[in-house]
Formats: sequence, structure tokens, C-alpha cells
Amino acid sequence: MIAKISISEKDRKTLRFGAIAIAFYLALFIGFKVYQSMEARRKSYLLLREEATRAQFELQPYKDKVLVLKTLMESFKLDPGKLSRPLVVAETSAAIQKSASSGGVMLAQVRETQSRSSSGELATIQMEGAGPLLAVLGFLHHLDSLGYPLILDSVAINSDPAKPGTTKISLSIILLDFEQWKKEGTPRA
Amino acid sequence: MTKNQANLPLFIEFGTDSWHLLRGADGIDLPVDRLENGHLTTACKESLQAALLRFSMGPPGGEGAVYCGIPARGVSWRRLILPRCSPQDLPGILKLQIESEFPVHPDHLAWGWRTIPPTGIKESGRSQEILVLAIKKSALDEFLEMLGARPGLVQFSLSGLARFEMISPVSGSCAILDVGKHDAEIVAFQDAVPELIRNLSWGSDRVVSALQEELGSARSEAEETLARLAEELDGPQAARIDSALSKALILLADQIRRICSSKVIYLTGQSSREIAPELGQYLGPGFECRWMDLAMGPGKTAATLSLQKLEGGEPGFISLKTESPTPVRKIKKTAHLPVKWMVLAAVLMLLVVVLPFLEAGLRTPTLRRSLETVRSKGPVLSAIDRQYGFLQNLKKNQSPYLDAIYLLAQSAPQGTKFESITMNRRGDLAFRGVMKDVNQVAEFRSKLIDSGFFSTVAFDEQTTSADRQKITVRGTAQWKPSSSRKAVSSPSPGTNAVGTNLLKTSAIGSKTNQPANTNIPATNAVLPPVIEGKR
Repeated sequence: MIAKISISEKDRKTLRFGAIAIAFYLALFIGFKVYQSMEARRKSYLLLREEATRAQFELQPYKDKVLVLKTLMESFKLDPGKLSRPLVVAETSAAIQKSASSGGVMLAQVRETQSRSSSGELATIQMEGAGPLLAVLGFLHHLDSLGYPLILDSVAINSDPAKPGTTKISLSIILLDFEQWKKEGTPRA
Repeated sequence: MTKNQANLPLFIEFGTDSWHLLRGADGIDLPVDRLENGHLTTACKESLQAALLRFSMGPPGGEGAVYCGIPARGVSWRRLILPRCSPQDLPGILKLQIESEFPVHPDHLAWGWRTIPPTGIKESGRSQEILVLAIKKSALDEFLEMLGARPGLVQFSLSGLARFEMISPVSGSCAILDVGKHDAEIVAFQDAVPELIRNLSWGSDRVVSALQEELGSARSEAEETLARLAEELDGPQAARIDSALSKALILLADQIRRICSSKVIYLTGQSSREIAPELGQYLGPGFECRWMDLAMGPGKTAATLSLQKLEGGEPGFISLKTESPTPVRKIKKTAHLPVKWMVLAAVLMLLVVVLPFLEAGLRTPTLRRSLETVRSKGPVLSAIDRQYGFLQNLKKNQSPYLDAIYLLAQSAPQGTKFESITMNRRGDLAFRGVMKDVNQVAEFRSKLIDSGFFSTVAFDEQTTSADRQKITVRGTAQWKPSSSRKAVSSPSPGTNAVGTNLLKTSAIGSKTNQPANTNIPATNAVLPPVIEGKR
């Protein structure tokens, strides 16, 4: 059995005011919480946007870098990423000898010396040969574009009194180590 | 006065010199004492309040309505031509018109109006003429304070306009002159429409003073003499009284003639019965002064009697509203608010607040994905950096051996024979050769220096042969760093300039000039433009 409670007008008014006050408080409380959550999300978004702007700024020079890199790779006919460290000395020596013989330079002696790994050089190749002057010059010219990271350390061109029209050439070539560059990223040669 | 009478409406004429109260058949006249600024003295206020309480048996406006007539001083009036409109819209239109016509905002004014009948006024079918009276609310505060009544129960009107009711119906032109002790008020009507309201600086006191002066009597005697003016006076005193009246009334007549064109003037107020016939004479032929013969008594003046007769309901009565505009008007005003624009503004404001949050919610996932993509490409970028640095280093360490040989060949005189050339990547160049004479050596040296390629050129040894036909030279040179050395002028593409020149001028180990080998590429022509400039 439900007891009937009589509420006076004054109590009713008090209850009404109480309900309004609680509703107002709840609206404020929930509103504040929602606002806080949205504000936190907005702050996170702003940080993210700032990071994106920074990334965009950092990426900008890469457009030019890639173009220059492409040009350099074309001019040297070299892709450093494809070099294999164990094979590169043998391959380079073979390529040099092939280029020399195809150009008319007869190589007499080839010496390969393993360099210290800390110097950023993989090996030093010393070679001596002979051939017509123009063939020797052509050989020198083609060394840059053999497709290997070569630096011509010294060149000596001498006349051969025994064979007129023949020129003797003595070269010292340094083979750079890209693997070493990968690790340290500093110029050594 | 009984309790029942206390519920009857109260009619008051607030005069300058006295206040007249009338309720039912009872009335009271209260003298008023004023300061120089026109306000009531404190003592007068107290006595007036006590008298009002006594007369009303409580606050004067406590139970019944109060109708008040006020003097014309401080009241502004305008005749306005307005477009015809419904009676409901008229107050609103009038308020706007009053706002533009009067120097005080309508909310600070007690104002009332009445429509002037179409006859005898300038009016077209689409317009109407309105008479508007207005007075500052603050001017009525003193009356309200004394009455102690709620403003809504008290109605004010002009006493001058109300008095017309006592002579109505009158057509044509007429005026009512109310004479007070110190001043008078004249209102002129044309076909019952007020045309002129003026305060005159002339009162019955002037006549009393003139009589006192002329007869040489006391003031009370002079006042008695004035009261007996209506009776026939004979003898030498009559001449002196005439002279005194003439002095006083000529001034009044002059003022009336200047401002009023009405020929019929009704007189009311203090001593009006006595001076009416005399004033008519001084106004001149054509003027007629009539005394308003009313049932006078305490509180019974032309104004109070008229107010009682009208009781605020007649068309001739103009009630000055003392309350603020009614809520109905306010609601009407808000109805004209640009609700559409307000809603639009509110929506825009809401968008301004919400959009940053919306943007954050909508764009965060896209931005996060883009950033993840960029981060995933980190190794690629790192590889690009490494390869770029490696190739730049390789390029930097490429020495210009062929350029140096080319310059030697260009600079060497005809017939020069080089036995050896040695170069290293640090820029050291050493050569040994044979030339004809000293002049050729000098020429060769100057050409090498002029090329701008070498920083130093030195001939370490010059040995002349025994037959003096040739000189063996041994020299060294140092080429400049790539940043400061002059670029070697590029030979035309397709020609083997280095080899050809070297062969033409001299041959290493051979004096024989051999034909050019076209298989040898030109030093610079085959190099890509980017590298060419730095070689």
C-alpha cells in the first residue's frame, strides 16, 4: 500500500528550486568536463599540426637533394647502395683492367693494398702500364665513370725511350668504402 | 466628510498661490508659500500635508482616483501632423514623434494628447492633427510627493484646458483668463481647440497695490475697496479708484492685446468679477470681457469644477501619463527586433567557438596518418643523406688531372718535348721536358701563370745542352683549390683537345706529331654541367 504524502506549497517550491539547482550544477559540471576533454583533444591536434609543419620543413630540402644525387649518380654511373663490400675491390680492379685494355693501354703491374678500415678507404690500387698517349688520356678520363667510388691519388706519365710513341703511366687509385661511410657519415678521403 | 465621501474622486487645482481641493460637494482652499526658486517651503509642505490628510481622512489618493489640474508653467505643447493610423498604433507613433520633437526622451516626460477635430485645421485625408502636451516627470514629483498617492491613480491635466468645459459649448474664437494673486494664465481657443497658452506676469495684487497707493490706505482697506468695486461708487473716491484701476489694468490689457486675437475673454479667478467690466474698457472697442459666474465656494474653482464635470473621460481632457510605457508596448517593440539576424549572429558565434574543436576532431586522423607515412620514410631519407654526402665527397676529391695536362699542352711552345709529368690529388704537379731556348721557357711559364689555374709555377732546373740547341727544364706547379681556380675554357665538343694539342705542341717521349685520336673524349665536354663548373 502506497502511503499518500501531502506536500505543502512551500515544500513544493523548495523541491522545485532544489531540482533546478541540481540540474544547473549538473549542466555546468558535465559541460565543464566535455569542454576539458575537447580542449585536451584540440591541444593534442595543435601539437600534431606543429610536428607536421616541422616535418614538412625538414622534407623540403630533400627535393633538391634528390635531384643533385640523381645527377651525381648519372655522372659517376654509380649507385652506392648497390655496392657489395666483399666484391667491390675485385670488381673495381677488373673494371679498371678491362677499361685499360679496351682503350689500348697495356697494364704491366697491378698491386692491391687493403687500407685501414678506420680511414674510410677500402683499398689502394697501384698500377703501371704503357700505351699511346691518347689511349692513356682516354683511360684516365674513363676512370671517373667506371661505376665505382674511385679517387685518383697520383698520376705519373713518362716517356719510354725504348719504344718511341709509347707512354708509360703509373697510377695510384683509392677505393672508398661506402659501408664505412654508412656507419660514420664523415668524409675521410 | 463621511467615509463614503472619502471613496469619491478628488479634484485638485494646483495654483501658483493656492491649492484648491474638491471632493463631492466639499472643498478646501489651501494657501501656498513658495521659495524664490518656486519650490514649496518646508513649513508650507508640512501644513499642506496635514491639511490634505485632514481633508482626505487618509492619503489623498489612497482609495479613489485623483484628478489634478496644473498651471501651464513648464508645460510644452505641440500640434503635430501625423499620418492617419489606427488608435492602437497612435501612441507608438506619437512617442517616436515626441522623441524627435522634444529635447527630453519621452520616458522622462509626462505627456498626453488629443486629436484635433478635422474642421478648421489644415488636414488632408491621409493625415491627422494631434495636440500634444508634455511636462518633465520631475516637475510633477512635488505634487505626487505631497499627495502620497500611487502615480497610476493620479491624472494630471492643464487647468487652463479644463476650464473650457465651464463655458462649453462655445464656437468661434474665445479666451479664458484666470487671474491669480501674483500672475494670470490665459488660454485662447478657436472652435474649442486650444491655440494659445500663456502665463502673464500680472495678478490681482497689482490692483490692490495701485488702490493702496492711490487711496493712501492700508492694504486691508485696499482689498475691501477692490471687493466693493462691483458696487456703484460715487464721489471723489470713485475718481481715485478709477485712476488706480486704470494704472493696473492698462498693463494687463496691453499684454492681452499683444498675444491674443480673441475678442471674447472669459474671466475667472481672484477679483475677476470686479475687474471684468473695467478690463473690457481698457482692451478697447470690440473686446468683450465676461465673468464666469460659477457657484463658488471652498475648493470650487473653474478648474476643479471642470475636472469634476469631466472626470477624465471627455474628449477635451488631456491626461498627462506619468507611468512608463506599458508592457504591451515593450512586447510590441521586441516584436520588431531583427530576430532572424540575431539567430544568424548566434549561429555564427557558436560556429566560431565550435569550429576549432571540430577541426581538431576531423583533421587529427588524417594528420596522424600523414605523419606516420613521413616517419616510415625516415630510413629512406637517411639513405639519401648518406648517398648524397658520399657522392659529394667523391666529387670533391676528384682532381683535375686532365685539365692540368690540357693547360700544359696549351701553354707549351711548338717543339717542346715532355719526358715526364707527375701529379697527385693534393695539387702538386712536376714535369721534366726539353725546349729550344730560354725564350720558350719564359713564354711557357707566363702562359701557365696567366691561365689562372696554378697558384705557383717554378722551374727548379734549366740546363742548356752542350751544343746550345736545347734546354732541359724541370719544373713544379701547384694548382689552386677548386673554389678559387679559374675554370678551364671548354674545348668544343667532339674534338679531343687535350690529346690533339699535346700532340701538336709536343709529345711525351716523341717529337713526332701524331693525328688526333677521336675516341678520346674531351675533358670537359663530356662532363655533366653540374660538375663542370666545379672542376
